[in-house]
Parts: sequence; C-alpha cells; structure tokens
Amino acid sequence: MATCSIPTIPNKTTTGETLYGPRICYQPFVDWAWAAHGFRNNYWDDGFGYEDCCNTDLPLARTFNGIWLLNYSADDYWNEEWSNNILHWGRRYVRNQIDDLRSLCGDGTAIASAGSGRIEVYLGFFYTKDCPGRAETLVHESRHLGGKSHNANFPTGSVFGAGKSGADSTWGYQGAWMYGALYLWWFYADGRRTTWALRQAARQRANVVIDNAFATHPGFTIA
Amino acid sequence: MSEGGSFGPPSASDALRPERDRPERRPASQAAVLLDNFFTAMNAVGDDAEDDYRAALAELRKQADLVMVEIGRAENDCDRRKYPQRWAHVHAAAELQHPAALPFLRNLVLTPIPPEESADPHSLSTVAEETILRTTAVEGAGALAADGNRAALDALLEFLTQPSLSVQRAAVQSILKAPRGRRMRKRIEALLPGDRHFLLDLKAIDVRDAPQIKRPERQLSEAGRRARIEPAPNLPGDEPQEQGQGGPGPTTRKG
Repeated sequence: MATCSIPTIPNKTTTGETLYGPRICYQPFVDWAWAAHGFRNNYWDDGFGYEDCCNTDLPLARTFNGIWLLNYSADDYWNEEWSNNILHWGRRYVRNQIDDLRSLCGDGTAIASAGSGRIEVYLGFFYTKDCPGRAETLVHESRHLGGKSHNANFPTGSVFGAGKSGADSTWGYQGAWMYGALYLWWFYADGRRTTWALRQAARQRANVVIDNAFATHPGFTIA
Repeated sequence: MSEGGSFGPPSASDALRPERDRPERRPASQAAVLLDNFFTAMNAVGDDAEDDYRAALAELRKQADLVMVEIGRAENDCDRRKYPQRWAHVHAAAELQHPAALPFLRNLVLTPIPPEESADPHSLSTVAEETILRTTAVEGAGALAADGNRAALDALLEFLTQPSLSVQRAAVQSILKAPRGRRMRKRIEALLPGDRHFLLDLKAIDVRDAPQIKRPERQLSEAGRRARIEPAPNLPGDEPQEQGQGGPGPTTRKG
C-alpha cells in the first residue's frame, strides 16, 4: 500500500470540474456509475473520495466527471446503437469492457493501465487530464481490454517517444489510439452539454494523437 | 496507458492525503479580473453561454495590450504541469485575434519543448502536453494571418523550422488558409525537411469523412460481449427510466 498526496489542483473551471461537478452529484447517476464500471469501495476510500463523492478535489468525483461526459455528450445520448458513431456507443463499449475500476497512486505521472477486465487509474488521470481527457483514457484503455494491443513503434519525431513501442501501425488497425482520437474528434465536432473551450482542447489533443501515435500518418487532420 | 495486466499481487488499496497549505492567488489587476471573467465565460453552458463568451472576449479585446501582459505573467506563473490551466491562457491569447497577442504566441511556439519528464510517455507525455500548447498558439497566429497580418504570416513560416511535426502541421494548415496561402506551397516545401513534405498533402476533414469503426460490438472481449449492463439513467427532466443498478456505492448526502 502506497500513500500519496493530492497535488496542487488545476483551475477547476478550465478542466471542466466546475461544469460537470454539480451534474455528477445526483444519486441515481452515482449508483449507476458505481455499479456499471465495477468500482469497489476499498479502492476508492482512504482519501480517494468514497466518503465525499461529490467533492471534485478528490479522484472519485473527477472520475465520475469523465464518466458523465462519456455518457451524456451525444445530443440523443440514449441512442447508443453500435451502428451510430463513437460519441454514442463509446459509453456502452467502456461499461461493457470494464469489470473493475481502481484508483491508485501510481508514480505521479502515470495515467492508467489495463488488463484482465481491470483498469487502474492513477494520480495523473485525476489531476493532469481534463474531463474529456479522462473520457478518452477510459475509451483507450477499454480498447485494450477488448483485445487490441499496440503493434508498432512510434514514428520518427513522435512526442510519445520515437522508436519506442506503444504506437498503432495505422488508423485502420483500429487500435486504442484510434478509438481515443476518434472519440475526442466526435466530442469536438458534435459534443453537447459541454463548452466551446473543452471541445477546442479535445480537438488539439486529437490532432496531436493523429500526428504522433501511428507508425504511418493517417493522412488527414481535423478541420 | 499500458496493457497486459502487470498489476502484482492483490493488496490493500493506496491512500491519498490532502496537500497542506495551498494558498490560492486571487486576481488583482483589472486585466486579471477580465481574464478570470473570460475563463468563466468560456466554460459556461446554457442558452446565454455563447453571448456571454462573446461579451467577455470583447471586453478582453478592449484592453488587449494589458490583457496580454497578464496572460504572459499568469501563464508563466502556472505550475508547468498544470497543462489545462496553461492551455486556457494560450487559448485566450489565440482567441483575442489581436496583434498584441502575436509576440506571446510566437515566443511560446519558438521556445524549445523541454525534454520528456514522464517515465512512460505512452501514458503521460509532457512533450505531448507542451506540443498541444504550441499547436494552439500556432493556430492563434494563423487566425491573425487569415486576417491579413503580415507579421503573423512570417511567424507561421518561421514555425515551419521547428522540429515538432505537429507544430509544422498546424503551421502548414494555417498558411494554406491565409490569403494567397495556396500559392506558398513551394516556399513551405523549401522550409520543411524532405520527410515532412507530406504535411502539404494532409486533408483537413470533418469527422464524418474520417474512417469510422465498423461493427464495434465485434471489438469487445468475450466477457464484454456477454455483459448486460444498463445504460446510464436519463438526465433529470428527460423521459424517466427504470432504475435498477443501484449498489453499495457512495452517497451524495454528506454527514
């Protein structure tokens, strides 16, 4: 068992906490999110927020914020048909894949890892990512749980470490990077119940993923 | 973001402690107040959000010179790891679409990206986060160039010599959108390294024209395919829905 400290909390308006925080503080949502994503008390207590689940200083509420965004950003959010786009079915894919969602300290910069139906999220997830970034991470990690590992090395000049493993070969490989980028792209293009600023931030992030996470550049950029 | 399940043996969960003594700086100058108002407006939702945003932006523009001093100071004072907060400042400078913002935007783009600080850049890449700040700044200069600002166009050409692929990509796209930008292909080519000439041929597309994921239900694990988990409850005010997923979760009531 490790003990860590809450880092200095970024401005909650700019990360989306101010917007989403009041929305997650709704018992039917909390009950549903808790059960649907396999939260377990002993991984979310002891400072991580179980005892104060609406407090957006704490990891649990910040995770709920990402889950809320993932679930309600399509105009017709209840339409989660697989034939629709990822803004609609991303939430269904994520909740179907995650059996067990745990919070841990990590090394301070780590974001998340996935394996065997379980996703672990770390301090970097709660305090470095904004709300769309947390939703993207859940989509990305869920794709790993769906059985798709990365299959290539990052290209020359990649911000993720040129030559290192962890990239996807192509956009058409339909790996975790593609899922995450496509989710952000749709969120930018058609996200609802959110702000212009968060959508713009999502666009910038998706473009950097498109540029840097594929061994072969997809050949397009976000208009 | 790794996969593969290297979690180690089951153990008790970690513990998280609050940080002590976290003083919060309050905005002091008029420019700081205007900037704070803008941040609030840019993160607002609702019927009036767009109007409020435009009004806050108009107020910023009235005092663009002072506001840019404040943006520069505040961004510089930010903890380097508070990327969303830093991004908000860069976004504000870009949205100003005022010549006073150009020195800040240019300086940011030309500042070398610090070496990677993360042990696992695939998980969190500080280089990626710094890059996002710079691509936002490039597009801010691009908006000025689109308005015919010659110095901004020169800055965009200068950005092509930066090593970052994403900075170059954003600069190419911005130049091509500028007045007579399409005629600058040869000049862009001359400034880009040979292996980056493909940036001139990238298609700027709408997400609806991007290759999508066909039959995502087939991309679930076996357990994922079998899962029968209720969708999220409808939002308050929307059509009611049966609630059946409650569990021994946390309560929103305090005390």
